[in-house]
Amino acid sequence: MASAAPSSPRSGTASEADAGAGAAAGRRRRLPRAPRWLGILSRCVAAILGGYALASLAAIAFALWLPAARPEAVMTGMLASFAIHTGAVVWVFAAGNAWRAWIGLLLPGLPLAALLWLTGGFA
Amino acid sequence: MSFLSLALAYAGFTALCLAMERHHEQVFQARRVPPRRRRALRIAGWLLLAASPVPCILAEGWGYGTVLWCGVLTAAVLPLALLLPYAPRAAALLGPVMLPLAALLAVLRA
Amino acid sequence: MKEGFRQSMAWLHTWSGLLVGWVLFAVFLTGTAAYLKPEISAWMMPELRTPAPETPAEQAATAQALMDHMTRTAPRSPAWFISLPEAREPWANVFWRDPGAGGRGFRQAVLDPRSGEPVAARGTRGGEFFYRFHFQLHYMNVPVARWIVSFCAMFMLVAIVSGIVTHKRIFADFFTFRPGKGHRSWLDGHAVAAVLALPYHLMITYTGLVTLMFMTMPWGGEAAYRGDRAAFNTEVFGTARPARPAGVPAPLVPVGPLLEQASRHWNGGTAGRIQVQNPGDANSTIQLTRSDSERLSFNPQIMVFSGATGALLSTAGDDSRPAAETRGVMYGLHVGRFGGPLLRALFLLSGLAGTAMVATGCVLWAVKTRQQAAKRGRVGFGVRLVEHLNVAAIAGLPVAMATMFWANRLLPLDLPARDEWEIHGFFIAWGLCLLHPLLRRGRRAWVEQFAAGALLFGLLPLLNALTTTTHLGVTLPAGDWGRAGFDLGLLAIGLALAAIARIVARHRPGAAPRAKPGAGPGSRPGAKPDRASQPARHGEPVAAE
Repeated sequence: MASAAPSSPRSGTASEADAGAGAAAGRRRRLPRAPRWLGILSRCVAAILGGYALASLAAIAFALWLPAARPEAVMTGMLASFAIHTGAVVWVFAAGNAWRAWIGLLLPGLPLAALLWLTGGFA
Repeated sequence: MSFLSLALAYAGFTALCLAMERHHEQVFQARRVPPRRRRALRIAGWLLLAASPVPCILAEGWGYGTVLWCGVLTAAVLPLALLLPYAPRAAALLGPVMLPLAALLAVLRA
Repeated sequence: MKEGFRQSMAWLHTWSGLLVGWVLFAVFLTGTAAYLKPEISAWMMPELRTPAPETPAEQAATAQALMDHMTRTAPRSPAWFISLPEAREPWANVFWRDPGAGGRGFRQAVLDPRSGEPVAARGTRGGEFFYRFHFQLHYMNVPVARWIVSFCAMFMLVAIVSGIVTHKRIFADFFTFRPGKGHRSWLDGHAVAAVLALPYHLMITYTGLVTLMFMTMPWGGEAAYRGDRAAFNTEVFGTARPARPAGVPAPLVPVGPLLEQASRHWNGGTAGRIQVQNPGDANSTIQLTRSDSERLSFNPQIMVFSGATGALLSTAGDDSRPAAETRGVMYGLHVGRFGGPLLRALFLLSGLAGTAMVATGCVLWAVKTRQQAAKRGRVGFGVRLVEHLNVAAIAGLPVAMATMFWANRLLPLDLPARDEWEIHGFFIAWGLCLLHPLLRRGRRAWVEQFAAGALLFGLLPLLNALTTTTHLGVTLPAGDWGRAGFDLGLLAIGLALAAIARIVARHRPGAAPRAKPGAGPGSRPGAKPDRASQPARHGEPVAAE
């Protein structure tokens, strides 16, 4: 697939700084400024492990809560999990900065985990 | 039957690509596509493309037919994209040559 | 913000693709070869000559002969697994459990499709090696290797999705390939290979993940079944728990009537596999599985009979529940064993397009980054490493594959662990290709490896003529198109590699503005001026330093 990002003046490096550069840049300066490699590392961890965790939670939720026969519900969750993981990865790298990337994962992930835990899904 | 699908898809893609300035120039040496020709090419292209899955699905049913058609689309674009830079006229002519041939074969087969 | 999004997706596309590009290339190429698994196996076992049984009566006779053979050779084995001969695979593969055997406790044999007697075929893995390699590599713990391949496939899925987002002019550039324009040609080639088979690429990547999902994503099942694996397997796959042997001897019933009953039950479908539990015991079962080449869905249709009485015990896979059927169709699409030769040819073409997509992507990165580095006057270690690995992976893998075919013909027939040595040959050749670019830099390495691959593939039909009696001189006059086609295909691969080698050798870097030699194997010759003279397409991959 051809990469066709516009060769705008700020192109050349893609990183924390320009991943979501533009209008929102000023607002983001309030957050602590980490070295660039740390931001990328943090996003990679968020994408690979965080995304996998979110996909797993979703798969469990499907398996337990989908109103269908048990093997059907389990299978649906498994089949959908890879799409969810992909979506999570796209979010992590599209988010303005690494903090937001994590928040975006935790926002659906934590309530889901809590709900599963309360209903005995991890028993 | 899948040859008819291939011919339809190839002709359809050829028409659509000739409606674009860049490829119109490759074949006709004129960058500007006359508006009427552009519209005719576009309509013909989409109609041909819309018709291309029909033989596949008639012959093989919905399941196989659809899968086969996806493969046929790939097999149609590949020669077009590779021929255009080297032999643009041949690429454009191949569609009109292949289509009646495929139709004839399909009629003979039926 | 929208452009920012596209730019971050371009970054994601570049890196998710590049980091695992070499593994993906190997997976794509060997996976594409796996579409021809039976044909490759047939070529690598030239001793097999008997055609497969055709009529139901012949098939039943063969099945009975195989069962009789197993009764004679493995009467005390707890389980037999028999794959019945089919037109594309005219031999029977049998496995049976033997607590005395090493490793995983199985023994294996290749049996004649008519007599059911063992065939003195040379020790080889055949096409099975490429098939296994493409999802579990080799020399590695199997689950670990499958995790690695799944991990890379996930990167691939991310690369495809981010690539679609990045490539905004997907329809305008649909037919655009501009040869002889340096990195822009690589960008075009990459886009054409990707877009023209995009449904296939998405399908094959997602379904590839689905084939391994019970290993990589087991959590839903664990939660819903509270860790009861057996219950999970019974409900999901419809396979009953194997009965314990009764300890009372009872001979197996003839298998012919069971095959007939199964064929009626499946509306004329045929059984592809027979699995026998506790043969010779009163509690024995005979399980028939429908041939997977007959249906799109890979959700197996199973009938289980009592081995002692022939009574039907259970059936599975007949009802189509939506999720199970979805998985079955995805699995079936991935392995592509359904459908005729035409569909297989189209899958092969699409698989090659995918291979080309990965290869052009890797080369594109190297060409682009070297240009940028050259502008700054300093070419870093990263570029050199990528260039080196590109040569070894892209040009080296065909050399390795051809070497395995050579080893199949040249290794002594009585060599111990002969099948393993064929595979060692594959990896030795690949290892040499990894070392070779240290001695021969840049374009030379590309040309020499492609030329080596061309020679090795192109001369295979000749080697075949010198070492077997099923060569082109025999198969062509006899009209044996299966075998002749394979030899001709090898020749065609050789010619294609020779053409690539020639193109790379004649490539003048001058044609590619600012490109330095050695970055990539060169673009196509006959570089006509781009008559379209379209203003350069906006944007290139955002290659981060």
